Amino acid sequence: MNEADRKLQGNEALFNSLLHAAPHAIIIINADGIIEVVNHRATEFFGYSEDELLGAPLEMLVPESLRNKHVTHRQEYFETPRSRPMGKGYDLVGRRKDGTEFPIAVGLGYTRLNDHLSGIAFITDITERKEFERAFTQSQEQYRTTFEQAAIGIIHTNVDGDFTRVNPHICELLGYTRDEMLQMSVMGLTHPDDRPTTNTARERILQGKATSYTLEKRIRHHDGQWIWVNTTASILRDPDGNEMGFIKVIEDIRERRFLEDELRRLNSDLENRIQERTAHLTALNQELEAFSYSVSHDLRAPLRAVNGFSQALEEDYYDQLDDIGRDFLLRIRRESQRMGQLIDDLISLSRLSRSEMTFQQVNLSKIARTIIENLRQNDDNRDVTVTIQPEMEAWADAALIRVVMENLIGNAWKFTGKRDDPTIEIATTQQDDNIVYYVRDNGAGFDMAYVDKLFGAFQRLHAMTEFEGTGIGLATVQRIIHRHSGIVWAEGAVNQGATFYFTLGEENTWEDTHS
Amino acid sequence: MGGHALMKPILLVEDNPNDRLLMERAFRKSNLQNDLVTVNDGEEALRYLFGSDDTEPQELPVLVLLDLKLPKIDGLQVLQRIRDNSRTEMLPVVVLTSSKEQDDLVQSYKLRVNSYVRKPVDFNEFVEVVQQLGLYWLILNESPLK
Repeated sequence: MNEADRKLQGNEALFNSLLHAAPHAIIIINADGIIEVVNHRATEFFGYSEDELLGAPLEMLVPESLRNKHVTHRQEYFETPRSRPMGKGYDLVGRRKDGTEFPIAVGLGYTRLNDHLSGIAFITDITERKEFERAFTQSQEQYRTTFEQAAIGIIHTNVDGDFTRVNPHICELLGYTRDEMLQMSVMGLTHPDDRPTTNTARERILQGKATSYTLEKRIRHHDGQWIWVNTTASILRDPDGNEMGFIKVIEDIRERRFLEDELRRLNSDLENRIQERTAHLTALNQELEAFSYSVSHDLRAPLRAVNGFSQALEEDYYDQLDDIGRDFLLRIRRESQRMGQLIDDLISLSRLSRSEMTFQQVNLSKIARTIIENLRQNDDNRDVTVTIQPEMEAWADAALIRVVMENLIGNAWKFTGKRDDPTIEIATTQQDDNIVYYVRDNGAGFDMAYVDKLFGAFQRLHAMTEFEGTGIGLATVQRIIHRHSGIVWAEGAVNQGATFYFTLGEENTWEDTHS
Repeated sequence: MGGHALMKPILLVEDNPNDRLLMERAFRKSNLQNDLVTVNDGEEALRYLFGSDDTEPQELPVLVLLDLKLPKIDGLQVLQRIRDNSRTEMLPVVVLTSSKEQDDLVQSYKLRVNSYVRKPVDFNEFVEVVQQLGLYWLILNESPLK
């Protein structure tokens, strides 16, 4: 092999390497469109073998509908051949052996081979690019539609807050044309009072402390009125992380603000009304105070006179009265005493309703024991069996709860007076989550038909001659229990005893004391 | 008039004629020897104790029984004047009233009342109260006043 042959051989090897290693399909044709050279990529792209392609017309690789046009283009090219880069405005379609078509970009060159002009086509499969472009266009179009049609205001701004793009909704909301709006900026439309918060939120984003913010603020309508909006702003960055601007979504919240204002106004009205009512109640309370003062003072004085002068009459004019007359005087004195007691009870009932309450942990067992001891001391002759559950605790006003216990235990003591085997039980039981305190006796009891009369002031279910009392005790008990947010009720039967139950509100649940 | 406590009068400040009559009766029944001087209201009480433009003050009583609810000048004001005056500041004063209002009680004690007693409705109890007051203030108790 001579020098020239070796050189030629080397060139051919280089040519083959370039031809087959290229990422493009390369097809060389003559002026008649007959394929002279193809590389591997070309066989891959089009699905033909090299043998099938060599000597075949190029138009075999063009969709049938475009073949005639392609022939014309090819002929024109051969008349004035020139190189041109790939794909520039020449996105074309290729046809595979199986008839399927695919988008291609084609770059053209030419050379003189074996004394005739040959055209070289560099072909790229641009299926993926086309797919991406389509998706991109679709996404663009979707955003554009969303932007234009949204029933919410959308504004794009630059980093300084100047509007760069506005949608029809925001224009309509604010009464400006698109062109007018594009002359404006965020701060320019924001209510002066809302500018500091807007600015702070914006700064936080620019400092990288947040990627978006939501604010309720007022922005100015074309006609000068302020519109309450909820605005959400998100930073827009390029792939390198540089701020490009903001996208702001603006929602008209006038209706909500109106309702909120209305609610606030109603609340404040209500508060005013409560204050008025409270003032009224305070005044009533003061009147009541004056009333009970005058009752306690003024009603007792004449009673004292009635009582005192009846006694004086009895003492000084004893001889001039017969038994009936003396009996009348006795009745007058007894009733005046009873009326004095009634007045005292009534006053203490009204005082109980008004007094300040001081809540503390109270040992009811201890109180019950003290009350029973006092009753025993004052009533030596009675032998009453008393059981008191130990360590009964309550969160209550100590003075008031003592009054409750005195009344209930006092009643039990009184109404067992005619029993041979009087017993009193003071204990607790559970009902749902509540502690229920109760005082049970086996005394005179009462008819359940009258149970609703038990707690009324001056209501008595027993004749005066049977059991003493003014009928204030249970009314007092009920008043105090109610002031503790508790309830009181009773069960009983005539001559079979009575049980009085009470609760003391949320502070006294079974859980608290038994867990 | 001797200086002995037993002989000095007791001053009753009471506007209610019934109560005055009953008090006098109770006073007699409790066998107290002292004179019971009765005035009708606060103004008269002050005139008795401190005199006026044309009257000299009377001899200090051994004890003042003071009703609170009085016309013109009420009992608490009388008590205040008694305590404010060096001649009478140590005079034993017992409030004897129908009221047991907490306010009245507190105000009376703030003005250094010596006792606060509520008039019972029952006359026998009333007599007993007067007897006990007499026994205590006229006999058991030592007064700094000569």
